[in-house]
Amino acid sequence: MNMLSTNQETKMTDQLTTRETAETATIKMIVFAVGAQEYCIPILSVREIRGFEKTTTLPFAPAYVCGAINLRGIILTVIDLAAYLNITAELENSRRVVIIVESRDGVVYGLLVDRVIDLADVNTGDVQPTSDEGACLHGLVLVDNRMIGILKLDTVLKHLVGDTTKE
Amino acid sequence: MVLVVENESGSRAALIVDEILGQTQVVIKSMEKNYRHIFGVSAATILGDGSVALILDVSALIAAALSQTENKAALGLSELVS
Repeated sequence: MNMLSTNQETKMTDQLTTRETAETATIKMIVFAVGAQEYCIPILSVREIRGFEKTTTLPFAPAYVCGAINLRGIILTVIDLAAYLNITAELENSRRVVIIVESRDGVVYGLLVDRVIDLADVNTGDVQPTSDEGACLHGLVLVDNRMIGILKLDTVLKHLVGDTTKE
Repeated sequence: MVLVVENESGSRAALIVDEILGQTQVVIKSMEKNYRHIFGVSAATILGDGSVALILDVSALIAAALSQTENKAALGLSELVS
């Protein structure tokens, strides 16, 4: 079951990146807010959503790494998306949540966001691509007349684990 | 508070810490699995209350401190010679 969902995710991300192909697909996205801006990621990459709790600070970590948490025996790091994307987070927000994401290589990490909004079906044909190849966004898409950024999890992961290729 | 550590080769070093909380047996969990290697940290563990604690790589810390002092000594010597 887990394998199946990972395969589906792979397929979908491929479709997101290779937009030259005429066929378009609909991807179910989870929409969340960081500050005033909304972003989304494919729901199949999400493992669970939980409240933000105390993290263990890691030495020499980039400013956007909040620290490590214990998720039922797994140690994973939480990324403060507001700091990562260099945007101002909501002040005095006690409802901040961590979206636990699992990459295709099985790396589990958390994304700290201000609030989870809803789910949305995004058609790959409607995505307005951003020009930069190494950018942290796949592109922008209109959902209910709101401009939503599609977060590129591959780039986030690459920044998190460092440039050294994992064995 | 000062914590004196000794490695296999018998060399000793002192670590200055804020507080010694106690001793415990832990299960070692890799940090590289979901993150990357951290300098001075060999692994992590989960404590009884569920919080994450980092396991220090003492030999790496000592080696780094020693090489730094050696560098400084060498630098001082070269300044004397020139």
